[in-house]
Amino acid sequence: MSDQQSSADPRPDLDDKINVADAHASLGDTPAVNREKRVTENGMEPVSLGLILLSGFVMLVGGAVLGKGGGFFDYDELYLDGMVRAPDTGGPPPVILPAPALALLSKEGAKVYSKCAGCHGAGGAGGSGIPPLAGSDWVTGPTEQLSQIIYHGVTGPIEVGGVAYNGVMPAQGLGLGKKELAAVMTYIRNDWGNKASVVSLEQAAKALEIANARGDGAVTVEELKKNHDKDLEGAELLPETLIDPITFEPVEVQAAK
Amino acid sequence: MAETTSNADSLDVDLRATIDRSLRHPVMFFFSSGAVWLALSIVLGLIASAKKHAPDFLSCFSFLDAGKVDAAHMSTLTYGWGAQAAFGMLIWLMARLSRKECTASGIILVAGHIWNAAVAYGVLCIMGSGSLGPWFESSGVAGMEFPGGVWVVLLVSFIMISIWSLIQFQVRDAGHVYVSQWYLLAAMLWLPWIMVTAWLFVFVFDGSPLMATGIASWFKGTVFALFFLPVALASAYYLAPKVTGRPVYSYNIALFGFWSLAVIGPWVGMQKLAGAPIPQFLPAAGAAAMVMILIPALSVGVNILRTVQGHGKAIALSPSMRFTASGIVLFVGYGVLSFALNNNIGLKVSQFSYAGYGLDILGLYGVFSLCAFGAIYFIVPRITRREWLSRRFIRWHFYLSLYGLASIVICAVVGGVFQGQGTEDLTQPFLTGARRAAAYGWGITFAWGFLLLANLFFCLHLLLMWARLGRRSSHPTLLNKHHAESPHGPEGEVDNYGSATI
Amino acid sequence: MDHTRDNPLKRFAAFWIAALLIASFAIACVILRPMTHGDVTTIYDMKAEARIELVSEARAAQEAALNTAGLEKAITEPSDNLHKQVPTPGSKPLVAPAPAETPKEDEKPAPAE
Repeated sequence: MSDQQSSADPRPDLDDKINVADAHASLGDTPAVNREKRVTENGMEPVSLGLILLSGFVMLVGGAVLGKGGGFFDYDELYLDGMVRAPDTGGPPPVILPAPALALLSKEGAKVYSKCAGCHGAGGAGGSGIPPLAGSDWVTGPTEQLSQIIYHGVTGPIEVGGVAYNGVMPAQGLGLGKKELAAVMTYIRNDWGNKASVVSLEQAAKALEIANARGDGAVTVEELKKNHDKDLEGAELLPETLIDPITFEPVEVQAAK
Repeated sequence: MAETTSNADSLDVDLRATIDRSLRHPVMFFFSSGAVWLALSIVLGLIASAKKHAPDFLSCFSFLDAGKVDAAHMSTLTYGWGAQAAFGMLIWLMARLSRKECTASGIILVAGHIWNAAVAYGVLCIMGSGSLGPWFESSGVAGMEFPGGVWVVLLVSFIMISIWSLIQFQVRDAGHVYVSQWYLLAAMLWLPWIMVTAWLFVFVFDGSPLMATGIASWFKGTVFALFFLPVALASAYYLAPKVTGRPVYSYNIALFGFWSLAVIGPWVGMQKLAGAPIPQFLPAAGAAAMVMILIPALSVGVNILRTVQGHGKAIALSPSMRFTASGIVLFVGYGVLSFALNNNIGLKVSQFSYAGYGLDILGLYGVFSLCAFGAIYFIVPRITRREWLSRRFIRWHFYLSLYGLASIVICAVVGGVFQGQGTEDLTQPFLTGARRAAAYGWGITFAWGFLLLANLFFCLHLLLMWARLGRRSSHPTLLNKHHAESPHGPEGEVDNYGSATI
Repeated sequence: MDHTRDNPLKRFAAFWIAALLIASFAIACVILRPMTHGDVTTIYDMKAEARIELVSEARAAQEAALNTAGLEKAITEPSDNLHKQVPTPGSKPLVAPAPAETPKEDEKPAPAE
C-alpha cells in the first residue's frame, strides 16, 4: 500500500477527493499490524567504559561474598558472636550443681504424679468415689504403708478424711523404680498443704523389696494396719540436704572458699 | 549499519496478520487464564500477608493456614499467572521473529488446558493438605509445593507448548537472529533443564533431604532468573525498537548482557539456605550470583533505555511502552536491591525477613509482570483485531500497579531490615524483630489491596477483549490526555493513522 | 517436498532434536547420579551402626523384661472388679441415697439404674 511518508499531505482535503471508507478499507481489518514498524538491525555501540567499570566493581563484591564461603565445610565460620558453645575437649562431663533434696525429689515426683492425676486430680483433690490425697493421713502417715498402697493398690473399704470409700485402686508398681517411688512419695507428702518427711532412695528400695516379697494383689486396710504400719527403714533424708540431681544421693558439701 | 525505519509493505503486513491469526486461540487463552490466576494469587497474597501480622484472620478456615496460603500464593503467582503469561509471550514473539505461522495451535491450546488443570490440582493439594484425603497432599518441599507427579505433567505440557517455537526457530529464513530470539531460545531450553534436574533430585533420587531442600531452593531461584527474566527481556528487546522505530542501542551490550545472565543466572537460589547444614560454598555461590545479577540488569537497562531515549512521547502515550519501560527500570532497581540484600551484610537481615520476600515480589511482579503487561497490551489488539476499550482502565491499571508494587517493596525492605536487625540481636527475644516489622506488615497487606484493584481493571479489560468486545478502529488506544483532539489531526486528514503512529 | 530452509523433513528433525536435547538433561542426571552417591562409609553411617545396635539391644532387653502377664493382669483385674461393681437393673444402688421426704403419692419411685 502507499508509503505513509508520501501520502501524509498536510493540506486539508477540502474538495472531498478522498473516500473515507475506501481509505480505511485499505487498512483491512488489521490496522494494528499495518502501523507496526519493522524491527531492524541493531546499533553497534561499544560496551561503555562506565558499564565495564561498574560490572567490575559488582564482580569484586560478588567475589567477596563467594570468598566468605571459601571455608567450604567450615562450621566455625558460621558462628555468631555471643553464642557460647563449649568445645568438646573430651574431658570429664561438666559438673551439675546439687540442690536440696525436697526440691529435686518433688520436681521429679510431680512428673511421676501426672499418671496419678487422672484419678486423684491435679491438686490431689480426688473425685467421686476416689479419695483425696491432700490432707490425707494415709499419705502423711507411715511411709511403708503408703509405699504398699502405691505399689499394690488398695481394695475394700477405706476411710480417708472421715469419708468412707469402697473402691479399687489399681496397682501402680509395674515399672516403678526406687527413684520414681521415692520422688512421688516425697511429692505427695509435701504438696497441697501436706507436710511430712522426705523419702530417700534407700527407703524406696526397701519398700520395693517388701512389695516384691509380699506378692501380687491389692492390699486391704486390715493388712496395712497389721503388717505395714511403720516407717521404712533407712537413714532419714532431711529436706534441705543437698543431693546430686542425677543420682539423688546426698553429696558432701565442699568447704566454701 | 542501522537502516532507517520504514513502514510495513503489504507482504509484511500479510505475513504478520497470518501469524497473528494462527496464534490467536492459544495466546488469548494463556493471557486470559493467566489474568484470572493473577487475581486469585493477589487475593491469596493479601491473606498470606495478613496472616503474618494478624494470625487470627480467617483462622476458622483450615485451608487458609499461614503455611498453606503462603505456598499457594507463590505457586499461583508463579505457575498460574507468570508461566502462562510467559507462554503467551514466548510463542507469539518467536513466531513473529521467525516469521513463521504456528501450525500446532490446537496442541498448544490442549497443553495449556492441561497446564491449568495441573496447577489447579497442585493448588488444591497445597490448600487441602490433610483435609482432603490422600490424593490431595502437598509435597511439603519449600519452593516445589506441588506433589511430585504434577511436576512431570507441567514439564510435558511445557514441552508441548514450546517445542513448536523451537522448530520455528530452526526453520526460520536465513538472516538476522534478533536479540529477543537469543533470550527466548535460552528460556525454552533452561526451563526444562531446571525442571528435570530439580524433579529428579528432589522427588526421584534417594539422597540427603538437606540437599533436596537446597535443590528446591535453587529451582525457585532459577525459575525466575532463567525463565521469567529472559522472557521479559525478550519482550522488552522486541517492543522497544518496535514501538519507537529505532534500532536497539548496542548489539555488543546486548551480547554482554545475555551472556552475563547465562553465566550468573544458574547459580542463584541457594542463598536462602545460608547457614544450613549443606556445604557452605553453595549458599555463598547463590549469594554471589544474586549480587552479580546487577551486571545483566545494568547492561539491559542501559541498552533498552538508550534505545528509547528521546522518545518520551512514545513512553507516555503507548501503554505497552509505558509498562515495558517501567519494567526495565525496575529491573535495574531489582539488580541494585539484590546487590544490597545479598552481600555479606545484607543477607543477615534479608534471609529470614520481609526483605527477601520484597525482593522476590519486585522480581516477579515488578520486572516480569510489568513487562508481561506491556507485551499483552501490544499483542492482544493484534490477535483480536480490536483496540483496547478504555484509556482509563489502562491508566488505573498502570498507576495502581506501580503504587502497590512500590509500597510492597518499600515496606517489605525497610520493615525487613528492621526485623532482621531485631532478630540478629542475640540479647533480645525473637519477638523483637517481629514487633518491629508488624506495622510494615500492615502496609504490605494494604498494598496488596491496591494490586488487587489494579488487576481487577486489567482482568475486566482483558476479558472484554477476549469476548471480542474491543473497539473496531484503526486508531490505537493511546494514553493521551486530550480527548477532544480528533485522531485524524486538527485539519481532519483521513489518510493518516493518527497524530501518533504507535 | 521443496528444499527451501523450511520443509517438513527439517521440521520433523527439529522436533526430535529438541525432544532428544531435553531428554539428554534427564539422562545426564541419571548417569551422573551413581557417581555422586558413592560407596563411601561416612562417619554418620558408622555411628549409625553402633547406635542402631545399641538401640536394638536395649529394645530386646526391654521386651524380655516386660512382664506382659503382669500387665495383662494389672489391666484386666481392676477392670473386671469395676465391671462387677456395675449395678444391674433392678438391684439396689451402691451408695444408699439420702432418705427423701415422704414421696408424693402420684410420684413414681426413681427407677434403679
